[in-house]
Amino acid sequence: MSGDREAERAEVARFEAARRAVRGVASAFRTLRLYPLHHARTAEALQAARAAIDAYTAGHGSLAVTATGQGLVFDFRTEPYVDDVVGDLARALRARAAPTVQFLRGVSLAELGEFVSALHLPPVQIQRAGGLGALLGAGGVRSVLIEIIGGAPPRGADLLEPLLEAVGAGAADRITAYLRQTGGDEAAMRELFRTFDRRIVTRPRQAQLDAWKAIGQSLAGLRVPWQAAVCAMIVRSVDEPWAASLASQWPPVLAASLVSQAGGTAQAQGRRVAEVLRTFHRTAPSTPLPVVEPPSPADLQEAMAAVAAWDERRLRAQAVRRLGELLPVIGAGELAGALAQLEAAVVVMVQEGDLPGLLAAMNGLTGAAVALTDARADAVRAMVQRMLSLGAGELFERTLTRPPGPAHPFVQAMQVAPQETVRVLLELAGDDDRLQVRGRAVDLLAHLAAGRGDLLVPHALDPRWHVARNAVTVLGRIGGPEMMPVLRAAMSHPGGHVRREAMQVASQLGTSDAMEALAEVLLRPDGETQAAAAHWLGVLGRPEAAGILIAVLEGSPISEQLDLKREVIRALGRLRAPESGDALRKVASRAGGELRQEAAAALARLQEGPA
Amino acid sequence: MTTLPGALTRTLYAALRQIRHYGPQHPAAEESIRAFESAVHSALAQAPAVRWDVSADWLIVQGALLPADDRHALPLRDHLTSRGVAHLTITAQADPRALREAIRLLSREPEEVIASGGTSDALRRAGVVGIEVEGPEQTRALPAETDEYLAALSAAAALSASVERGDRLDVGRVQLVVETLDPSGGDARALWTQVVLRGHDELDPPHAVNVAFLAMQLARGLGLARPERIELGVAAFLHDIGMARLPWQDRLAERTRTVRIALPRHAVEAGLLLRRLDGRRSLPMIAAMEHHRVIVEGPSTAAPVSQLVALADYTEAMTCGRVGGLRPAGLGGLVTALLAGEGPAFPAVHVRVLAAVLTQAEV
Repeated sequence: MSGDREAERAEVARFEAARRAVRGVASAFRTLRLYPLHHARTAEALQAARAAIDAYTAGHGSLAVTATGQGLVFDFRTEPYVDDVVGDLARALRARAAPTVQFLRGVSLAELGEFVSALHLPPVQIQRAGGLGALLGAGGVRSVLIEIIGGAPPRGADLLEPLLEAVGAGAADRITAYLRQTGGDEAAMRELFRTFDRRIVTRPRQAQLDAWKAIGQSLAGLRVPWQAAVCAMIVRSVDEPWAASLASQWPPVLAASLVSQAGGTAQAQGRRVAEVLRTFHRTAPSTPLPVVEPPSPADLQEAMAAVAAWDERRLRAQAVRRLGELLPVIGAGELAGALAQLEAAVVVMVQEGDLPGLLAAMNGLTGAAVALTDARADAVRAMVQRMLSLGAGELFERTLTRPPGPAHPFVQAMQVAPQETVRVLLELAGDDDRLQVRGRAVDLLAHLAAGRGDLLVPHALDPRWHVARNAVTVLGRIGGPEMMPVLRAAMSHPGGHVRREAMQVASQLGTSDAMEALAEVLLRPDGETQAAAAHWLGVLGRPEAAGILIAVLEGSPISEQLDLKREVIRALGRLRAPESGDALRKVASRAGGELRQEAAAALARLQEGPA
Repeated sequence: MTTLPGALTRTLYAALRQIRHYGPQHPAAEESIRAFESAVHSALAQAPAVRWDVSADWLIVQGALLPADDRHALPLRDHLTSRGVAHLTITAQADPRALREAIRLLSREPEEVIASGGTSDALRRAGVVGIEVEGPEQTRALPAETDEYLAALSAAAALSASVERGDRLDVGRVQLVVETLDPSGGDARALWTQVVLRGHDELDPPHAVNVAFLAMQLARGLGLARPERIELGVAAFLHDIGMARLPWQDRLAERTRTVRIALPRHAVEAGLLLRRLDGRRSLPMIAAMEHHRVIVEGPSTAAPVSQLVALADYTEAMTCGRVGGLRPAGLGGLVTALLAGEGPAFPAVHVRVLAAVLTQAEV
């Protein structure tokens, strides 16, 4: 009970102090109507107003009043206050579209003079000046803030300069008031702090810390619920540099009150604040530097040689390589510029015979051509053609010879950039019109990639059939049984050439894995692929395959799928498995002319005995 | 109902007052000390330590601010501040003897405490374990930045702002700035004092300046000539310039400590900005596009310049932070880890040169 009475007394005292302050301002406003600004009476009235405002702000912080039709409303109570003196001020404020005025601690006589003088100006003149707030701002008034009617209150960027000035002056009241003017808009406040941070981040470190400390302390002047919301927002943004700086400069008393406010629904928020503050107050890691022997002269020499090895050409090739990575991810406008730059570099590289550089360019372009699906892909493909016509093609072709030694350009390129070397050779081999080029490229690749089948594996699934087919061909030349998974995948490639090549390579392997893979293909619904699988099963030559071949042969009426049946019959003949005889005899007795002849020929081969 | 902070405050103040009035042997003092011990034990059952934070304006106990009109908080606040106590911490290591000794020392007259060198020293001399007293924080002034360092920071900020506006990059200006970051002797020491402060974020201008400085110091350690060092410094200064082309929110996610891909967006943007396909002039583009590749995938396909920039960048980024507690590592810890083969696989000789350079600079 005694607590309630005490609170009531404090409320009454606060109201009395606020009433005196606004009456002082209203009196000065009235006096100025009768006497000029520098008259002794006006000065006396302003002095009294300032003393009353100081008395209020010393105990209660800044004073905000809103002019309404019923009088002035203070920011700490809802009932309006009015008397004959104050009513005049309220009308003047409303007429000048400035319903809410905030007097900050430390307001000067000059600022009060500017304020009451401005209230005597015609509304039109104030409007032309951009409003009462702008007019006062231009007059250097910093401690009387105006909230305007119509249009948003100043936010973000508009508050930046006043905030910088207030922080520079260490005016906590003004800082608090500016923060309040963001209206609790989280995005606006975040943007304000972010911009503020960018403005001070090049100042000396001590000045930055002082600035954040000033803002941190000003947060203590915010009203409690709003303060908690602002601090929670700062903690939520703690990933941002400004938020870390600001929260680390909170006075301990603010930090403690934020944590202790946590109760009920705010508990999680309080825990988060406490957690973040604890993180901030962890000491920075400070393990001493280890004692290490400095590198030996030989090690340093080697490191320097590694740097020196990157000459102009090698750096250019590396830059081309990196540009190739950019091509698939940039827009059409930038792509055109990049391709023009690449073309100029290609011309120089052709003149210098710089094969690694050209390989890098080709690799980047073909990679982008595959990755892009829109008009940019056409531009890249056109660039590939231009590049080949600029002489790069001739240079590539001249070097498609079986390497006589380590000085061969492709041998060297293989050492520096094996993946792009393989890729470019596959591209060159893909030119189906010139079988000679394909043959040379595949020969060269088989030689270079011996023992490095892993480099070819990704290309065996390239959506372009010619690249995939050539990769499978080379794999067949260099690979062993461990290549079976990729061959199995290639047997499902959309391109028939690739499927057939993969089946042929599998048949050359001759393993049971290869046989199983071909048997799986034999059961697919695609007649042409099935026929090929039957053919290569026969070539593979494992008698165990006879069972599945017979099943296919007998799985449908003899008059259907004649092409497939023909290949199956031939394969059974090649396999010479004992169980094939009955199946072939049935065909020979029931089928039409062509199949009957094939069956008879197969039976004849069977009777020749095992191969 | 009395809260735990309230009970801790009340019993501590009562113990101090009773000892001052009656001496430590008096039954009243004995009883008040026992009450304090009991309150401390209760608090230690809930938290690893009991802590009072004191200033002339407030008293915080276990992180809770006591009301200004608390009848025990106000006199305890005055009592402790007059004896130069700003923080008092008691952990479970403190036995009853330690508590009694601490109360006895804290109950002395302020002049006596100050004349004996402060409560902290007195506790240490008395062999008290588990109780720590700290005085008010002495603000230590940070070393003043040199003109060259401040100019380099401004240049980095201006460069970033100009890229944000869509202006062309002035690499020539960057070179002029970088040349001032490659001094020797006393000037280098002045720069080192700035570089080792670590109180900035990776997105702040000091990052570009410090990476350039560290990269050039590495190059000096390797024995590279000045023109090569300057080229490296320019590449290092510009390595993150692509950040300026990203929205702010995206930059936060592209800091070294969070990036896990070889070619993050800012590296792509930097590649476009710095696009040059002619030898050494391509170094900034190459380093900007490769520095994360080196960190994520290792140095095998990257140019040596990129390896050096990546090491300088990683060292800088992983040891900086606006707040000490947010820094993932210290310089010593980071170098120790890299030497042990933990973290990105930088060339061993580069890491050893880094360790030697830092040791020589006495950071």
